[in-house]
Amino acid sequence: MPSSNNEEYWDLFFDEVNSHLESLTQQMQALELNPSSLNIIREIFRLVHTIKGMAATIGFNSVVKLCHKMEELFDFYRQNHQPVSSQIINCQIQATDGLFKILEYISSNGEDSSVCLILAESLCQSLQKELSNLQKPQDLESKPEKTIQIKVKFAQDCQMPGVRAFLATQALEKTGLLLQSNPPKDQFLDNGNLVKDGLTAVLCSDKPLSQIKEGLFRICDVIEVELKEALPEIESQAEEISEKIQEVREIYEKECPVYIIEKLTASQKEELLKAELKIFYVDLSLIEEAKSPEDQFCNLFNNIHDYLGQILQSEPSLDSLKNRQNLPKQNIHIKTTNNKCINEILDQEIIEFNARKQRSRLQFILAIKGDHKNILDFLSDACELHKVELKEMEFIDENKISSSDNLKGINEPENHKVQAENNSPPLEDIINITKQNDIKTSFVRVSLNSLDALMNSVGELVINHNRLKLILDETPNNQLRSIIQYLNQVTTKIQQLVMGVRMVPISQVFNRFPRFIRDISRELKKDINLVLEGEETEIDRLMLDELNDILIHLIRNSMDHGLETTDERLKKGKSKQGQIKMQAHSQGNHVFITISDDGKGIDAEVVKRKALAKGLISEDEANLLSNKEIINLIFSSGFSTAETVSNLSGRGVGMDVVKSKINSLGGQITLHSVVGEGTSLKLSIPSTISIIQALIINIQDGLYTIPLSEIREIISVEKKKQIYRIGNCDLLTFAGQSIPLINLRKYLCIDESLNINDLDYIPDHCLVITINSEDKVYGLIVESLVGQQEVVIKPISQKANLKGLINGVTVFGDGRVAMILSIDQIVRFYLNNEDLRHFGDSDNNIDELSHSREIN
Amino acid sequence: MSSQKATSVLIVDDALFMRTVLKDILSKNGYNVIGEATNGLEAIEKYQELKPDITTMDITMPELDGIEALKRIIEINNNARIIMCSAMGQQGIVMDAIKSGACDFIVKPFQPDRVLKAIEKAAAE
Repeated sequence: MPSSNNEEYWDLFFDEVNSHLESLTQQMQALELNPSSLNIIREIFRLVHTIKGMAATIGFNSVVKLCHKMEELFDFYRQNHQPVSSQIINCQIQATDGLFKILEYISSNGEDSSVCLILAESLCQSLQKELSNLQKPQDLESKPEKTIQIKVKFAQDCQMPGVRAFLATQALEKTGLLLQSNPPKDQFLDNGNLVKDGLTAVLCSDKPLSQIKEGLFRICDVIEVELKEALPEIESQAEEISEKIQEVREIYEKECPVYIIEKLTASQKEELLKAELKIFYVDLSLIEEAKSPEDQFCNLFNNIHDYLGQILQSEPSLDSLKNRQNLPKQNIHIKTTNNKCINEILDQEIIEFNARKQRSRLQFILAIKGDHKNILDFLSDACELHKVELKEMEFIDENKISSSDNLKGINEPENHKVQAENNSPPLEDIINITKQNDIKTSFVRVSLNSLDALMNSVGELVINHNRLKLILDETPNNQLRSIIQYLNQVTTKIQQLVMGVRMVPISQVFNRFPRFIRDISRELKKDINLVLEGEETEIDRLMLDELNDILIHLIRNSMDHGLETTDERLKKGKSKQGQIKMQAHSQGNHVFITISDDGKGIDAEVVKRKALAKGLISEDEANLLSNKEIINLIFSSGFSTAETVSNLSGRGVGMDVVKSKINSLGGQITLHSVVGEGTSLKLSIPSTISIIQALIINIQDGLYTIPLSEIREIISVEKKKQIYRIGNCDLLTFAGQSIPLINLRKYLCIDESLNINDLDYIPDHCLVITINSEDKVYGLIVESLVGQQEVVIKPISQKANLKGLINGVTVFGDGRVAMILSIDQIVRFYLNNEDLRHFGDSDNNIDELSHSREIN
Repeated sequence: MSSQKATSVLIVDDALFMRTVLKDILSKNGYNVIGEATNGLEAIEKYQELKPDITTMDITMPELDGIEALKRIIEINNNARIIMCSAMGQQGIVMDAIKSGACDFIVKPFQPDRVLKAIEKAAAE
């Protein structure tokens, strides 16, 4: 292996190559949206070329091979400026995935094995196929090929007609591609009817008919030759093919996309009312054979403007039509070869049909003084009309319009504008992405390991700095004091810098999703639009890795369970395209990520029924729970509301795993859902996980720390007045709220002999730290507070971790060790052990409470 | 072929009778029969020596049959114009010959107009 020589560079190689691959994936997507952008094609070419060069240097031949083929294909596009077909983009995306796989294999197995080569080889083959397909039609275009139907008759006294027929086919093959002959070539000898029936053949040739005829007449016993240029329909002799195509067409006809036209603005409406104009919604399509629909539409626009009335809005707009006019015209070339290619032909047919259909459709809203007859007369004169749909619109009752037409949501023109923009992002945006990537590559790369080591050392520095400070507090040496103050500043700065270095924009995770959504939405056959916001928000790199899986899970849920299918959406009067929004912003030490969809939302009733059926809650409990609490039951383990389980999500391990993972990161997840409108999940996650501000508390002479971010308030409590017991639940009344008290001693196993049936364990005067968990407030009883400090989290081994109640430990300056409590985990334990969960946040409980106080 | 010079023909057949009949038909119609061969090997030799415009080739011959001779001549000159002479009922063999590069065929017993037509067409190529 030549690669073994370069092993020292492997890390560097994989790091860089991975970032290139990520950019590559992004560019591929950009290309999909904008398949004729030469800039993107160049960028992709450059990226692939770079990867190839790197791989060649380190000796990964399979990578080189695959890259070379990918490059070749893009080179073709670079030379011949034409839009990249979606089939080829798909092929290239597959190849990119292949690159990912190969590199993954190499990095985990340490060598470029034959497995990789085989994978590369097979991908190369499919790329090569596309490439030769591309190059072929080019040659054909230069001299137009026609398909010719040929009939040859032989003399009655013809000797050995089979051989004559063979000579005829030979002559034909000299002039072009013989697609078919009847009888077939291999049956000439056994066929007794050749003289009677003659020979028919289909030839694809660019030669003049006379030349073909001459060639045939040069054969003895040929007495009659009939040549006819075949029409495309006749050409596809295999009837099943044309049937299939017809089928595809019909399907397509049904599924022809419905465009949403922007709403009328208020001023436009007023104007129309004043002028006593009638408004029509016109949906027209040109005949299939129509040449350059763009030109026709542009003319139509002009004519309508001159003679008929005013076009208020249109889809596509006049501007985009004008732009398209300038695009090179694609010559649609259908060619039927042999049966092997049926699928290819069909694919091509679908794509072309699709494109033609799209191109020849125009929808607009027209304001005129006449009535629908005027429009129809006008339109049938003005263009090669195939079909037209007219609807007169009344805009007095806005609701009526929204229900009877495709035009709805009159009040929100901005919303639709946003959607339209998202569908076809302007080129500048894509260029911007490229630029950003360029800037990124100009940074120095640091391995994650050395960064972690640096972080760890900074942690030690902070600890020792604290120790030094502790000693100095006892020695009144002013000189030392000023030194330590300066040291303090430097330490803080170093810490901030290191933290800053660890921070990466969340786009690194977000950017994987457009591709993800694209793939899955195809699989689910749902039309989904992803909106990303706040990708520049920075987050700790370690956190980012953890986040990826969580986000994938949540997005999958939204796609699978949240968003409806296109049909369902249309039935409900929603836009055809479902939307998923990923937003991120930071606030304080936390990063908030919201994932929202405009799907069907979570039905509390359904959740309740499921929870009851699965025995997660009892009937009585269910009646006490608020809708919000019920919805939150989906975070319980063993829950799945999907009626059908797809291969993505819905196995019931989902949300509880997600939740505990987020909790273990020190974050929280909240859910908000409105039936029929959608669901939004809000994640709040600390932006870093290594150093936190913490409150140090004392329980039974043991030191514990609670992350400051978790704490709501600290209350000084007088036991007799404020703490009550209902059942076996201790409650604190504070500011009109009843707060369940969590006895830490019990959970931390500090005091085995503790009699928790008695309130005696609580001192007369104590402190209660209130915390928030899942929108509920809980209280933790502590004996005394030690102080607030920045602590460095040291991870703790799983075995030593008390049921996951500990997030880690920290070492103080004086060498003492304190455990960092995982508040969410403690609350979870509390809820599982205690029955009276519902006392959490219900205000009604106050009455109940005061009632029980009276009894006491 | 040049119009001034008569098309030259090499006749290959093991039977003198057949050669004579064919030679007569061709000579009477202005073709120049420049040689005759009696078997396949001789045919190859004569072909190389005489470089005829057209060769008529019998199929069944001693030493080397017409199909083999045809193949070797085609090897020597890919554009050699060779017309196979076959008896009735040899359609399959004729087909092989055509696939191997023969440009046409005539069927015994020879009918002068058919022979002439075949030669004429071959000469025009």
